[in-house]
Amino acid sequence: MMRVRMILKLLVLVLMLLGPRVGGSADSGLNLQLSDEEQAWLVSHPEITLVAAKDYYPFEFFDEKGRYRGVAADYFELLAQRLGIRFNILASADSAERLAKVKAKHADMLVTASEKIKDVQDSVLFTRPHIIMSGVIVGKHKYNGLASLKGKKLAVISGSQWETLAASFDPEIKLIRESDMTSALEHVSLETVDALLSDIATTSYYIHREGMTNLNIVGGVDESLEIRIGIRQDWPILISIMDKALASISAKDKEKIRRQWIHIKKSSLLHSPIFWSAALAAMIIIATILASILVWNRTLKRRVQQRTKSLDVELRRRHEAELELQAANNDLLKSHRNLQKTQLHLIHAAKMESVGHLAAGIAHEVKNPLAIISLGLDYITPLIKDRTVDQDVLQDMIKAVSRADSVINGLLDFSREDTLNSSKANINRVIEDALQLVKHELAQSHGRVVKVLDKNVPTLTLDINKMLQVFVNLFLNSLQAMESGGTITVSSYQLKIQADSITQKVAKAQFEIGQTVVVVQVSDDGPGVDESKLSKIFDLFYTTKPVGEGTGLGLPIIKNIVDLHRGAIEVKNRPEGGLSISIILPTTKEPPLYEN
Amino acid sequence: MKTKILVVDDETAITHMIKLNLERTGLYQVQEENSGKRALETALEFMPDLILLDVMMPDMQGDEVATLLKQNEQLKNTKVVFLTAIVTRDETANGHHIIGGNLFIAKPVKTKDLLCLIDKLLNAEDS
Repeated sequence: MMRVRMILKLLVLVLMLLGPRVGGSADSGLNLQLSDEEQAWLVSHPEITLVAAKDYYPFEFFDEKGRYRGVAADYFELLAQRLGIRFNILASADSAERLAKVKAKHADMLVTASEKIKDVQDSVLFTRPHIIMSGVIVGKHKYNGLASLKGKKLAVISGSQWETLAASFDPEIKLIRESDMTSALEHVSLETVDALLSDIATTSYYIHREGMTNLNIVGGVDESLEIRIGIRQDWPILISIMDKALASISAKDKEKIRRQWIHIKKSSLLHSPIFWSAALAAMIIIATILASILVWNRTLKRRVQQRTKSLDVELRRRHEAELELQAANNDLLKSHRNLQKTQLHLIHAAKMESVGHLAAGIAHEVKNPLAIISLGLDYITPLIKDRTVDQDVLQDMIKAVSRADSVINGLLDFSREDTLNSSKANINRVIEDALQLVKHELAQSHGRVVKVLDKNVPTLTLDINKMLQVFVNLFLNSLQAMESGGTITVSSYQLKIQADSITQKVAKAQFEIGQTVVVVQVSDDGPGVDESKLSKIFDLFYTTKPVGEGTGLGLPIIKNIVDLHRGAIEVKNRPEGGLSISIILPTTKEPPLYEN
Repeated sequence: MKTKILVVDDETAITHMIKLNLERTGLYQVQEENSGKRALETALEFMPDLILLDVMMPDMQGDEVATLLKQNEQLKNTKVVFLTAIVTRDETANGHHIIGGNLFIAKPVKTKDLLCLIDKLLNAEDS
């Protein structure tokens, strides 16, 4: 903001104070008309030596390669062309030395000379001014004419025309003499002095070069800097020659030189239609850029949205694929499990088949001797019926035959359980029928039955006779396990297999999570079974009953029948005492194994 | 006249025991045969009222013998009761059972059950 304001002020000032005066009269003719005398003089003086300041920016100076540059340098290049002579250029940093060179006629001309400096006035002849620059006040604060500088410090470059001028100012303005422009501007910038008096070209050049953006040209003074060519006193003829030559430089060329060295535009931006159209153009460009950024931003946003959307879609697709994969995996696991089950059943079936063969063989081989013994006993019993002791022996023998026979029969029963004759049945009905069949045994042992049957259990596909056998066996087992007067609790209920179910461990292995099953639980209040023996109770011929009371075939037969129904059995000791056996049967439409 | 019963079983002890137990009642005349193959021949000679036939015999199975008997004009109406070891007690509840249209009696057979069955069968024929 500051910089823009400063540049604008500077431009306005340049326009107001300098205007077309730069480079002298703008409407001088371009033709160089020298007198015969002048022309003859030039012929006899084809080389003229100039003495130039080393660092009088921007009027004359030598660049880093030692070339003569600046406003005056450009003028003299043109003058050399016009006059058809050569200028030899001597460089000197010191103004006194330069003057001395001209005085001593080591040099013929002083490039930048000021009429207003006393020493110079006396030593050289002057042309008309070729460079005119307005005097300006540089500062940081508002300037309302010289009066406002009273009591303030005003810097001037010592030895300059401005020092002479300032000396004539109100004595209340304190003059601070500075050796060079850079330090003078620095002091203004740091506010060790309040203002600087100098010409517009030099100040703007230095402000520009040093980048002192906080400095402004705050006002002007009536006096201008007039730079003339100083000519050695014995060559008065050169004055008219140089004046004519300077006048022959076109306004266009002068403008070109001015533009190159003084960084000020001729017209005020604020009043220039070019400025406004440029500003408009700039605004349009900025607006266009902003608009395109906006559009780009939008496009980007839309692209991001699209990408996000497509990513979402992709994500969803992957999720679906994952679900499908999971489902496929579940199916695979399921079929794997089914296969395993089937395999187990096949192994079981094969085992059963061999057991069947074995049982049949044993039955034939054992039952014939049993038949002989039995018939023999039948024959001899009447012969010794009058002797009591012998009768007991005979009865024991008859019982032994009966026992052996029942073992063989159990084995045969067991080996026969390989097919189902299934029909739809209500499990509660089967339980009731089984209870009817054991009514006699119940009454004998004074047993009690508690029924907790769920009326809403789903209909199952069962081999009713075999399930009847299962429950009869379970009830008889319970009765045998209990003391006289025990209680059998039989319950039926529906169950959905849960993942976190611990109690239904057996069921979990056998069934799918979420599958509905029917559970029939038969519990007694007997002594239960030793935990270490629980796993053995389904083994063939394993029995906990006293010798002669159990064949060790009841539970294997039950297990076999339940297996055929694709069911499971869970056996556990109840915390309150007694054994609890759960028969878990599936409700699926899947047909039972080995159905007839 | 005594009822004639033919007992066919490869176990001589069994045929002998049955003969002893049945004949002791004084009601039956029992003929023993220990070969399935010779059963038909013996039956034709003896012409029994009832045949007790073992199912599992090494030279000829009981059911084959029964088929031959059924095919014979003179013997086709003769009652046959199978004796078998491989029929469980449950299948022959009340001491006998009918499987495939044939009467079975399970080994080890009790004399009491056997007498009861024979009596029932022959009386049914009479009436």
